[in-house]
Amino acid sequence: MRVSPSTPQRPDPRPGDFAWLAVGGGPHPGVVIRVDSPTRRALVLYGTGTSRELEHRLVRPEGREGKALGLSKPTYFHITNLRLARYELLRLEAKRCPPGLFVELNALALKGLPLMTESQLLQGLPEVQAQSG
Amino acid sequence: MEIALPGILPQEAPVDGMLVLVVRLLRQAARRAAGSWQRVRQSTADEEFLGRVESATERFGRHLLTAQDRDDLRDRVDAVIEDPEFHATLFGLVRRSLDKPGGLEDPLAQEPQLSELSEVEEPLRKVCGPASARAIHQGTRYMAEVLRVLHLYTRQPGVQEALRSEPGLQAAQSLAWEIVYNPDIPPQLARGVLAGQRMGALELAMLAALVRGEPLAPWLGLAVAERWLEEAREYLRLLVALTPGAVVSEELLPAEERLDVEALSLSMQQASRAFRELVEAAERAGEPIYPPEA
Repeated sequence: MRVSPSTPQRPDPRPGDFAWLAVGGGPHPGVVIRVDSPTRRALVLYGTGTSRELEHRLVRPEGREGKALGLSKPTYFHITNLRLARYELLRLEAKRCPPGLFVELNALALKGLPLMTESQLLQGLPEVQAQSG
Repeated sequence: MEIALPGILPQEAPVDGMLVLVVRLLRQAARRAAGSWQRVRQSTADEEFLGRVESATERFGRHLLTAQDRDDLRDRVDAVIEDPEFHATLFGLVRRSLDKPGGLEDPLAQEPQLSELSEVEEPLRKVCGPASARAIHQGTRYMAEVLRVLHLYTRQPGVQEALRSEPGLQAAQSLAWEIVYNPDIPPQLARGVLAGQRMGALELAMLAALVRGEPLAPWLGLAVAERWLEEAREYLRLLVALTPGAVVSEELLPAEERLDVEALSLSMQQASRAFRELVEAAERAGEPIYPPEA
């Protein structure tokens, strides 16, 4: 009898989970903000190493929050660094965003969400304009 | 989307108990300057519970008092509130008070007396240093209001029942984090939940300082007092927002700083709709990551 190798079940992401997300050609550290189970998509606020002229939350690697996320350099979570990704594209790690930081990132995401509507995207995200400007 | 705002905090009420008890212990400690805890112990059950508080003071309060700077203090406070034992201490108090109504630490039955707080102010000033005098005075005023409004809050229909439910008592930390990690709870309210816990942690630091009986380094005394004031103020904003009929002076909480629960609820509904539209747009576009790269 053939026994097919069992594949470990990937846990579904939850708000507050740490995840790597491939954006702009490379993996970025991110925090899951919301999930939509029916479509298996997660809203992730990801960080970058470069600061821009946008509202953001900086997390330093030497601080408690940076250590909890395993960051290796100062990381900027900008208001427009939101992506809705299919679960299978998230590389989850067994790390949780500290509660205080999650509340702040969720507040940023709530401000950023209205900028992600189709009509706003057609006009260009502020980050895209900033990068091309 | 509906947010059961009046019901989101029953698990927070143990902080009420913690504060009442801490006030009484602070008063005892202040009266005796330092020393053993024996005189406040009234029964075996009280002793058992007070032993937990003493242990929490040793473990968490002293830990906070070894902070190296303000950033370190902030990090340590957050480490304390993320420790399950901290929550177990808070819930131990509620369980204890439910088992023995009318006991020493009966936060659900007795309204705290403001005179208890006034006894605490001067000893706290001594250990935290003269520079902290204003913050201690203001913090004491906010603490009095927090206790008063929280007492009203726990008397709302449904809150007592929620407090007495077994799951509510057993899942202390996970319930608190369910609020904090719930993206549909307005961040302003989630911050208030965290503030209540941070306030409790800082009170353990103050209690530890009083028990030790030695003045803190001036910067540390000031930092503890200012953080305490800040968290008490934030916590009061939350409690006033969630407690119909709570009246707090404009001086302590100006109208423009108060939280409008209806407006917050509306903004969360809008955010939920924006998220739904984003999901639908991503599905229509068929993009695995949305929006795709420009």
